Amino acid sequence: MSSLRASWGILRMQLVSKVQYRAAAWAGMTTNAFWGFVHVIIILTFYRFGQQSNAGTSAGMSMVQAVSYVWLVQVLITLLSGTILDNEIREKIRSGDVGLELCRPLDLYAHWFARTAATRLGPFLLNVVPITAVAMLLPEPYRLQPPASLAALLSSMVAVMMGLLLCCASVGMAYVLLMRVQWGEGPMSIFTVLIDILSGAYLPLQLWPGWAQRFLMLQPFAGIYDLPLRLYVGTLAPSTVWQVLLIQAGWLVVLVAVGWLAMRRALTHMVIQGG
Amino acid sequence: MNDFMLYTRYLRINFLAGLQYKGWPMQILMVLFIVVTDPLGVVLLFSRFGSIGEWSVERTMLVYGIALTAFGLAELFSRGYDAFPWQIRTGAFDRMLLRPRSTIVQVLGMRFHLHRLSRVAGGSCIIWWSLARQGVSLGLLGLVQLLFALVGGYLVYTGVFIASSAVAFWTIEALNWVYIFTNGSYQVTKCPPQLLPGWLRNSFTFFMPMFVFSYYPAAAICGWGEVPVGLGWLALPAGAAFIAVAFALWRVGVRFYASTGS
Amino acid sequence: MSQIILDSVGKTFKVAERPPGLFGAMRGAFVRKHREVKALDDISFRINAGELVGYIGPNGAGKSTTVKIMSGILVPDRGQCEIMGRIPWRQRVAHVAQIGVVFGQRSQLWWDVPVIDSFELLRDIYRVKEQAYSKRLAELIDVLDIASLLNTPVRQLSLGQRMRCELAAALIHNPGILFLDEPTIGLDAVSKLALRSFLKDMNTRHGVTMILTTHDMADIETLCQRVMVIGRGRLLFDGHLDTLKRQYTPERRIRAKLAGHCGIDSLPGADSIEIKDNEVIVYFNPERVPAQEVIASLAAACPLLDLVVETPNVDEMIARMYRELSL
Repeated sequence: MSSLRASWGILRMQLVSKVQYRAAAWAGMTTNAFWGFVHVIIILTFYRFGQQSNAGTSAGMSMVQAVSYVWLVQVLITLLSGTILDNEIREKIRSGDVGLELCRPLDLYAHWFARTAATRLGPFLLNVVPITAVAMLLPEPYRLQPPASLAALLSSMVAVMMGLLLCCASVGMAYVLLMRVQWGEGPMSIFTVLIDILSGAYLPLQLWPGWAQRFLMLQPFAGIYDLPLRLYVGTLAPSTVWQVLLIQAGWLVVLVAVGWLAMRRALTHMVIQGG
Repeated sequence: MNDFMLYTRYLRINFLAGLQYKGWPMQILMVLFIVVTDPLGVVLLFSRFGSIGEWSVERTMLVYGIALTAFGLAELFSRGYDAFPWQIRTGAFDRMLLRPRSTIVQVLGMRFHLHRLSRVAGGSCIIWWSLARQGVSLGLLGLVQLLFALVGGYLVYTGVFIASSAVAFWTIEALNWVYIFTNGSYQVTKCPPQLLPGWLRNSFTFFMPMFVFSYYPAAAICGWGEVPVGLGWLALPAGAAFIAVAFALWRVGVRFYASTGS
Repeated sequence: MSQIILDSVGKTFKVAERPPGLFGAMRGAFVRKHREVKALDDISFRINAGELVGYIGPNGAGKSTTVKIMSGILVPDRGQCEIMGRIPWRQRVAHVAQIGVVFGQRSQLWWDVPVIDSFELLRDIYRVKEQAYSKRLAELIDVLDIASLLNTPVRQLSLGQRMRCELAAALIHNPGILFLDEPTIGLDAVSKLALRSFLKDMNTRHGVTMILTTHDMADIETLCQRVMVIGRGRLLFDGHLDTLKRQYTPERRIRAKLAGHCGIDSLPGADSIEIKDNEVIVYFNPERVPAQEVIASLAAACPLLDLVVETPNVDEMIARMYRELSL
């Protein structure tokens, strides 16, 4: 409960500071938009000029859908990116102050989980409208299309929320790695980049080689970007939302359980080491 | 002791400091992983869609590899300027002003991490791979041209770092912008330059001359015949001009700092 | 000829104001107000070679701005500043080669490497000749007792150990002037004493000019003859510590233990009187009424067991001075 209240405070503070530092917010959004635009151009080039220009459609994803997908990744990046870590938590781990957190009457894993979610919601809420608007107002073929249907929108929104939880659980594992202060930073970074790659932030998973599709669909991180966005662009029917949620929930349970246990182990390890 | 020697001493002490952290081999692996996986998306696209006209994956990767290696060199040897904007509020620049040396050498020497070598190594491998796959043998002239391209690129990226550090004297709020010209810039090379929108191609040719040190030399070395071969030699002068402008901005920033403090 | 000359130096900063709260932040995103802050109004002083001057004032009074101007980091808006015949910000490189600066809150040592590596880099930075360096270093190692610390990375040193190394680092190039910005902050009693005696020694034996800003009045009392007080960007006092004491603590107090009941609520010659349990405190001004008279009348009024006459300590004096000047 106190974790939730603390998270609400964090969210509010984030909103205030983001609005206050308007230049930073604008710069962040411009960078996002630039990044999205470049990726859109790259993917468009292949769809239009590639030797097998129908290779995308045959994989079940049309050019229009792919472009929308790329934009949506940029819209959601502040919410779902695996590589954004909370500086305060990092600093606590680095300085060994996590030991002090143990004195507080709350579960550290739950606390960090809630904090991670809160620090992502703030920037997202401020970015979502401008970036979506810019992406939708661009001329064809660069623009982000509206959702395939109202059902597609609603089902993808529910899946995005689950995606956020999945993302927080994945980032929680990254924090656990970081708690191995002696060597954890390198493996942690590799892990977070891996989250981004396998969640479809680099390329829609449908455009990966055909032989890898079954694996890609069923690995833990597909539920972060890829599956919710398939619902939005319409490569998955809204009626399949239950299957998507089932995959997400299954992995969420696994990641939370593993993360929670691993954090307990890492904490005792830290205490023994003297922080 | 002259400034260059002093710079090497700075590198030495930072190198020694880096070795104190036991996780440094892991850090090297980490950057290598990031470098290797960054072009994953475009490589997968090539494998699904095939080449884009003349532009095969090898050709694209050569331009990308040159830009990446140049950026890696700047990160390796000019990392101090890259990190400077985030140091300024800590009073780090005050300390530099208190030392009887050029502030430029001091900022350059402020940071040096061995694991930044990974990007240079990864980029060089990409260049080597794509040249080998295209069956291009460099020859002395080509090698010189390639080296000039990398040095020119190094100057340009260092110039970007210096310019952003100069802006940091006024504000660090909007500094996210700089990603467009650092990590963002070489993303642009994943697409054949002719197929880019004109304003984007021109920005990265005339404003920040990224294509001048990556695409032009690559085309000249491999004889793609898309641009005049002479343009392949422009990398070094373009880099020098770019960094000169950046330095001028830096000077103005230093003067502004002296009148306002941190 | 004075070594340090400041002549009507002034410096004004512009500070952006941000209204509080979410609503204020939104408003602040469109309109932004600036406020001018006079950090230094009109500061003039001279310091001769070999002086050890305490520079005090409340937080935000302009101490660090003055130090920054004198060390060449900051350019003043008006007035002149000349140090060893040079204008600090015009001839920065030549100037800073002759000064040393110690910030109590910041380190100039490289955090992750053994102390000796930092010293060697500083030698290269300041272009100290090898022979002069080894002689100087041996001296500093000896006086500061840091021989056993040289091979330890800085981050593993205690604050007291680190501060000794900071001092060595600031003096390796044999500067004629040393600026010390709160050097004793956070130090334990033993380290403070050691630091003070080192500074005293450097000043008297080597003739290093020192300007010391601090909030610890014991630093000032043990080290400085001359004190400068700054408040709201103006120099409010410049002179001998004793003069300052006379001016702001004319008052003495008698603290006495009572042997029995004492029911008085005033005493002839005393400014005020407080009685608590079996203790009585009497305030008086010796320049108006001699201590002898006050003690005599107190002894006549109350049964006394024991008695001391105290001067309010320097902290109290400074606090009172800041209050009186409404800083």
